[in-house]
Parts: sequence; C-alpha cells; structure tokens
Amino acid sequence: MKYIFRAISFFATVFALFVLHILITVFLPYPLRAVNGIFFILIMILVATGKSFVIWLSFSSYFILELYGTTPFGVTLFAATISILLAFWLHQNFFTNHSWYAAGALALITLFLFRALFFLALFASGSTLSGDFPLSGLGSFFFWEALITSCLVSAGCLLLSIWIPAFRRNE
Amino acid sequence: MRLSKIRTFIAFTLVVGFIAALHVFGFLREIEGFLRKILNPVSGTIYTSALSGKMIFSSKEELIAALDRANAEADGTLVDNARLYFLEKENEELRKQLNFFSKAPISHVGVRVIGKNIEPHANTILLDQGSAAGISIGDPVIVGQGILAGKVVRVERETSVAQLLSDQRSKVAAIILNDEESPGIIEGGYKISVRMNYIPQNETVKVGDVIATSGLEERIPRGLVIGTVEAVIKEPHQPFQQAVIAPASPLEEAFAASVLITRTAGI
Repeated sequence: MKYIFRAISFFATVFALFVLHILITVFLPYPLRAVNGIFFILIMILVATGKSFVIWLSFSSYFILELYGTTPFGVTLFAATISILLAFWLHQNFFTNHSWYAAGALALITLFLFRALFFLALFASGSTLSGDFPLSGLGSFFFWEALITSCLVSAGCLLLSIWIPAFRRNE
Repeated sequence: MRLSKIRTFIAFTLVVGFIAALHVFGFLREIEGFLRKILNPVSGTIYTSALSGKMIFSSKEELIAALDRANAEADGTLVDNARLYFLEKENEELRKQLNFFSKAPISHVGVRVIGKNIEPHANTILLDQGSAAGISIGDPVIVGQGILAGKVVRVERETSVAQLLSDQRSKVAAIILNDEESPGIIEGGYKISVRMNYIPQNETVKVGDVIATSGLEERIPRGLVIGTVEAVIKEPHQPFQQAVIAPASPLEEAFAASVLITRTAGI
C-alpha cells in the first residue's frame, strides 16, 4: 500500500511539474518566462529532503518535455538528469547547512551545469551551435534563467524556513 | 566512494542513452502516444486560457467586450458568451483561411494550436495534427489569408511542432514587394519581431513595404505574406541593409492555423 501511494505521489508530482512548466511558458512574459520552474521545485525538494528520488523526478519530467521539444531527443533529458545528480552530490558534500544562500548557490551551480551539459550533448548530437542554435540569443536567456531561478530558490528557502524546520540553517 | 559515484554517473548516462535509442528506433511510440493523449488536453486548456486573458485586454474594443462580459456575468450567461466569443473568433479565422484556399488550391490540413514555447528558449507552437494527417517536416504553417507563421520542425503521429518566424533558428527566403523585388532572408531571434537581413545595399526599401516569401526555398510557395517593413537599418560601410518587420499576424497568439502539405503536392 505504501509503495502504491508513493508511486501515485511520484506521478502526480511529475504531472504537476509539467503543468507548472506550461503555465510559466504560456503566461509569463520574457524575461520572467526564463525561470526554470522544474529546477526550482526539484532543488527545493532536494534541500528539504536530501533524497535521491529528485533525480528520477527530473528524469521523468524532462522525458515528458522531450516529447514536445525541438532539440534532438535525449539532449535536455541527459543534461537535466545528470545536473540534478551532480546537485544531489553537491548537496550531500558541500552545501550541507540548509541556509537560503547555500540553496541559491546550489541552484546557480546546478543551472550552470545543466546548460553546460546541454551544449555538450547538443554538440555530441551533431547540432552545430552557431548555425542551429545561435549562442547570442541563448546566452541572455540562460543568464535570466540562472538569475531568476536561483533568486527564487533563495527566497523560497528563506520564506519556508519560517514554518518548515527542514529549510532552517544547521547551527 | 569516488568509484561508486563514477558508476552512478555512468549508469544514469547509459539509462538516458538507452531511452534515447528506444525513442529513435520507435520502441517507445505507444507509451509516448499514451502520454501525449493525457498531456495534450492539459496544454491546450492552459494555452486557450492564456489567449482569452490576453484578448480581453489587448485593445479598447476588447476592454469594452470585457465590460459587456462582466455585465453578462450578472445575468449568469458569462460562460455561454465566452464560448460564443471564441467560436466567433475561430469562425472568423477559419473563414479567412477558407477564402485563401479557395483562391489558391493548395493541399492543406487545418490544425488547432494547443501549446507554445514548451522549450522556453524557443518560439514554437504545438499543433494537434501530425504525420497521420500528412504533415511532414519543413511544411509551412499559415494563419489568416495566407500569412506565413512558421515551419514544421518536428512531427509525431498525432502532433507536430512548428517553429515560428520569430524563433532564433528560423530562416526564410523572402522578397520585398517593391519595384526591384529586393531579396533577403527573414530571421528570428529579436523577441517577438523578425528582421529581414541580406537586402542588397543599393535597393530602395521603404517603411510600409510588404514582405512575402520568394519561393526560392524548397516547400515554401511564393507569395505567402510575412509582414510589413517597420524600420530600415542602413549603414554605408555594410554590404547589406536590414529591415525590421512587423509580422502581419501576432505569431504567438494563433489558435487555429493551416499546414500546407508540400511533399506530395510538389509546390
């Protein structure tokens, strides 16, 4: 029964992440649209629980998004899964004090890794960065993505630390 | 410890690679189709809601219409009126497209737009028809009376994704409808506007000139309207001039469109 409940909550979370992503891309204007809602939630969950299931959440959410993407299949999926895996290790070994600034820094580094891996996978898939994906436009988008998402993670952790002990800084 | 991390890293990379391979060879088609059946209505509902919100406040007339709807709410008829409003809009759009196709008999498929920008760094729209309806990669997507909105860049059985002209990867061969029929390339990547680059420096381009497809590009027929010249950027030391184009239709607010089936028609 416990496993069934867990499976249902897992798929419900993946569905909710998809809806959140669609809401952001459809309703928000640029540059607010650049916020990475999925990473925001995943990093918040990681900071609160420290559990590795966020990697599978990331994998499942980005698998769904790949169904509608225009980049070669697997590029975003690879970048998202591996960057959340690295974020999980960073959280276990470096950003361990649960403070709002550590969470913000973790989000910033994770998004940097995500986009670095994205370009790496894109290059490996045979897409030419200058032709298929002009760097000038993507650069500003990724800057806003990292800035807004990491600020949101910091603000979210700061706010939630009032009510939820898991977001409070370890003394 | 370090070895176990390397193993985990390799394991996840292999899992992603395996899933990508299954996708490429079509083994995931059934699962992906099932997921799309669940997720497409969700995306469509959110997209339609976003458009209705925008339409209410986009102009004075829309504001008046919103006021009428608010009054109607008091009578308890808001839902019916909203539905009627969208049906009227859709009807108007379909009439325009029908008018275009009656003049230019081109094989086409009517599609409904059910989402946009699912990859947030791209300007794309999600269409509710795919290869089952005859759509293939490279087919042009039009709105209104022959206004080019973009090109199909991904096709699945039941859905397809079109790249709008405003997308930074979009490039379309076009001409300016002036005396010289100046050629150029329409490129996106300038937020919601598009630009026409590589216009020869010695040709006369005026604000208000109409831009249309040149027909030089495979699968894109000649004469599809793109927009009008809003500003001309001409610098003496450059070999080409550039024009800022106002699209003839708001590209990101389309809710119904047509895909021209160019593969079999050979146009």
